[in-house]
Amino acid sequence: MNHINDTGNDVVVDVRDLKINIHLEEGTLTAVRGIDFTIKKGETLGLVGESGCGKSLTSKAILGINDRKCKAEGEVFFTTTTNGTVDLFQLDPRGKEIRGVRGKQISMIFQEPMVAFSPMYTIGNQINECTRLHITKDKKKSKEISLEMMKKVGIANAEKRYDQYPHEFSGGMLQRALIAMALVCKPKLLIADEPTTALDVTIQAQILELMKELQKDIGMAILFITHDLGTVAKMCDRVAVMYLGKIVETAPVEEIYANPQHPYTKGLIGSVHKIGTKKDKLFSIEGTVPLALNLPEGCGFYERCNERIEGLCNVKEPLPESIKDGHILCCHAHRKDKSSEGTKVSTEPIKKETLAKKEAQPAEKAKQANMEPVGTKKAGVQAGVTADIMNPVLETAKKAEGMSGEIGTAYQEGGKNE
Amino acid sequence: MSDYILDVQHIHKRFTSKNVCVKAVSDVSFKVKKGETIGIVGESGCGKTTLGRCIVRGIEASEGSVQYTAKDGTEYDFLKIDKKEMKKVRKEIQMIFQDPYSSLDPRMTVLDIIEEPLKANYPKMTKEERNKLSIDIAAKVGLNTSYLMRYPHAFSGGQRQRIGIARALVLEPQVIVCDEAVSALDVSIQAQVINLLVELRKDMNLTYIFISHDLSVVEHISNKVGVMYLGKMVEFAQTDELFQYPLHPYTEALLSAVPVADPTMQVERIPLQGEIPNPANPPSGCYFHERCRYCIDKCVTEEPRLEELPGGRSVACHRAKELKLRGFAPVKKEA
Repeated sequence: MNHINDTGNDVVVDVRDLKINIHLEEGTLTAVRGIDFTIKKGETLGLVGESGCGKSLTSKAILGINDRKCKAEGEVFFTTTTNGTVDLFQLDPRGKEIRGVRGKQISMIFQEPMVAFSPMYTIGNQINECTRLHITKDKKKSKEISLEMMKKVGIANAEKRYDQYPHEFSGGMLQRALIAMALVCKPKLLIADEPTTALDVTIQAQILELMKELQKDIGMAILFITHDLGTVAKMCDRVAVMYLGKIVETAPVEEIYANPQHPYTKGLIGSVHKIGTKKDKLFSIEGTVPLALNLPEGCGFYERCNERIEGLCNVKEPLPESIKDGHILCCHAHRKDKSSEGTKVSTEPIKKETLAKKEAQPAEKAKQANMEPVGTKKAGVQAGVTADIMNPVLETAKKAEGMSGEIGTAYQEGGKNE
Repeated sequence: MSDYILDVQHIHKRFTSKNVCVKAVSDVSFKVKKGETIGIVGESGCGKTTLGRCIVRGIEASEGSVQYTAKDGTEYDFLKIDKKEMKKVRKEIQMIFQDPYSSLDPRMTVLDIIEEPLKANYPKMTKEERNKLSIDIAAKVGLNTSYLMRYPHAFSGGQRQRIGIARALVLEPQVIVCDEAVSALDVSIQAQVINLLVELRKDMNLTYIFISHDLSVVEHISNKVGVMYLGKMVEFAQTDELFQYPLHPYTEALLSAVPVADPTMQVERIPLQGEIPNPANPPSGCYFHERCRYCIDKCVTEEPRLEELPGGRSVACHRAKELKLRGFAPVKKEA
C-alpha cells in the first residue's frame, strides 16, 4: 500500500489501511476495504457516501465499539494527551487505556438523539456520567461542569432541564444535549455520525453553527460523517468520498465541488438540486450500491460508472494517486484523459477503441465482449473462484433485464410469476 | 366543471385527549389544478403529514371539505361521501408513504403488494388480468419484473420506494399525495426517484401533493408551494416567486437555513429564536410572533388571516405589504 497520509506534528488521528470484515452465514462481507486518512488539529474531515458504504462502521471502528461480528484490521494512530501516539487497535478493547480515550479524548455524536439517550435516566445524569468518569469524582463540581456545558450549547433554562428526562426534550434540544455530552470532556477528536440528518433545516443550521463555534473554542478535530452535500459544503475543510468500503477521492472542500474528478463524486454533486436553477431532470447515478459480498475484481464503481473503460476498470483495481496538492483520486478514467505524458500516448487509442465498441455493438455482443476479458484475464490473475463465476453471469443477466441494483440478493431464478 | 381537480377548503384537524386539544391543522385551504404539483413544506410537527392524511381521508378531518373532480367529471366532497361512492372515488386518490421500510408488509410478496389494491377495488378481476396490470406497472416504475415473487426485505430502499409508487399507481389514480416520499433515501437514489415521479407525472397526467421538509427537492418538483407553521398555512405561492420574494418572515427564515451545496457560497442565516411552540398551547395573535424579528404590537394580539393578494399568492402576515424580505440568494463567501 503506498502511503499517502500526511504525517505532520499536529495530526490527531491517522488511519492506515483500515479493513472491516463482517462474518455472515453467506460468507465474509468486506464492508471497509482498506482506507487511509488523517485529520489534523482543528480540521473537519467530511466522510461522504451512500448508506451501506461503510462510513459508520469506520467511525465506530476508531472507537472500537463495533459489533462483535465486525472484525477490524489496520492501524489507527491517535495522539493521546498522556501517552503520545498509540495504535488504538493494539489496545485491549475492554481495557483501562482505551476507556481513558473513549469519551474523554475521542467522543461521538450519534445519528438519532432519540435513540442515543437512555430513557431511564435524566439528561443531567447522562451528561454527568462523562465528567464523573473522566474529570472529577466530586459530584457538585461535575454537576457544575455539566451545567456549564449545557448552557454553552444553548440549552435554555439549563438548571431545570438538567433534571428532565429525554422524552421531555424536542429533537433539536436533545441533539444539543448529545453535543454537550460529547464535548463536556473537551475531546481532541469528535466523531459526528450524521448529527443533523434527523433534524429540520432551521435546527440543522443552528446545530452546525454551534459545532463550528465549539470547534474554534476547543480546537478539536472533527470527523463529520454525512450523505448530505449541503452540510458538507458548510462544515468541512476536506472531504473524503467513500464508495463500497473505499475512499475514492479526497480533496479540500472547494476543490471537490469545483473540480470533482471521480465519476461517483461527480454524480453525487450532480444529483443535488440547486435552488434557482431549472432542470427537467436531475442527474442520477443508476443502480444502487452493491452488497460487498463476493465483490468483482477491479473498481467497485464499475457497474454504475458512466466513464468506465472496459478491459481496464473491471480488471485492475485503481490505486490512490495524488493528482494535485491535497487531491487524491482512485480512478483509471482520469489518467486516461489527461495527465503525465508517458501514459497519454499509449492509452488514448484504448479509449477510442472502447468507445467505438460501445457504439457499434448491439447489446448482445457487448455482453459477450464484456464477459471475455473478465474471464480470461482473471484466470490469469488467479482470482477468487466464486467471483470469477458469479460476476459475468450476474452482469449479463442484469444488462439483459435492463435493470439496476440488487446484486447481493440476485439469485437468477425469479420470474416464476406467471 | 371547475378548473380545479382538488379544492381543499378550511380543513381543521383537532386531536383531543383528556383535557388537552391539539390543533394539528387549522383552517388550511388551497386549490390544485390538474397536472400541477403542490409542495407543502414546514418543520416537523407543523401538521404537514396530518394535512396529507386528511386529504386522502386516512384520518377524518374535524372540519372542512375537499371538492374533488373525478375522472368522469362529477364533483364530490371527498370528505363527506358515503361508503358506496367512496368505493368509486377512492381509487383515484392515492398516497405514497414516507418510510419504505415500514410501509410494505414483510409477509407479502412484491407482486401481492402491488396487486392488493386491485383485489380490493375490482373483486371481479381475474388473477391473470391482475398479474398483467401489476407487472406492467412494475416495469414502468423500473422494477425488475423477474424479482416480483420476492419479499420486500430483499430490496434496497430505493427499490422499495418504487414498489410503493407502483402500488399507488396500479389503480390509475389522478391525485397522489407523496408524504416525504424521498426523505429516507440517499441523494443519488433520491434523484432517481424524483426523476421517476416527474416522468410519471408527464406520462400518466398525475397531480401530486408533495409533502417534504427538504426545500430544494420541493423547489425542483413543485409548481406551487405552501408553507405551514404550527398547523396553519402561512404562505402559498408559485414556486419561483416564493423562493425569490417570500412574503412571510417564516418563509424567509426557512429559506435562509437551507444548506447551499457550494463551499464558496453562503447564505446569511436569519436566526429563529426559541423553538416551535407547543401546538396544545399556541401563542396569542400570530403564532409566529414570538420568533419573528418583524413583530409589532398588532401581531401579539390579532391573528392574521391568510389573505389573497393579486397574482394568486396568499400570505398570513399583518406586515406583508410593507416588509421587503430576502429570498434564497446565496452570496460569495469572503476569503
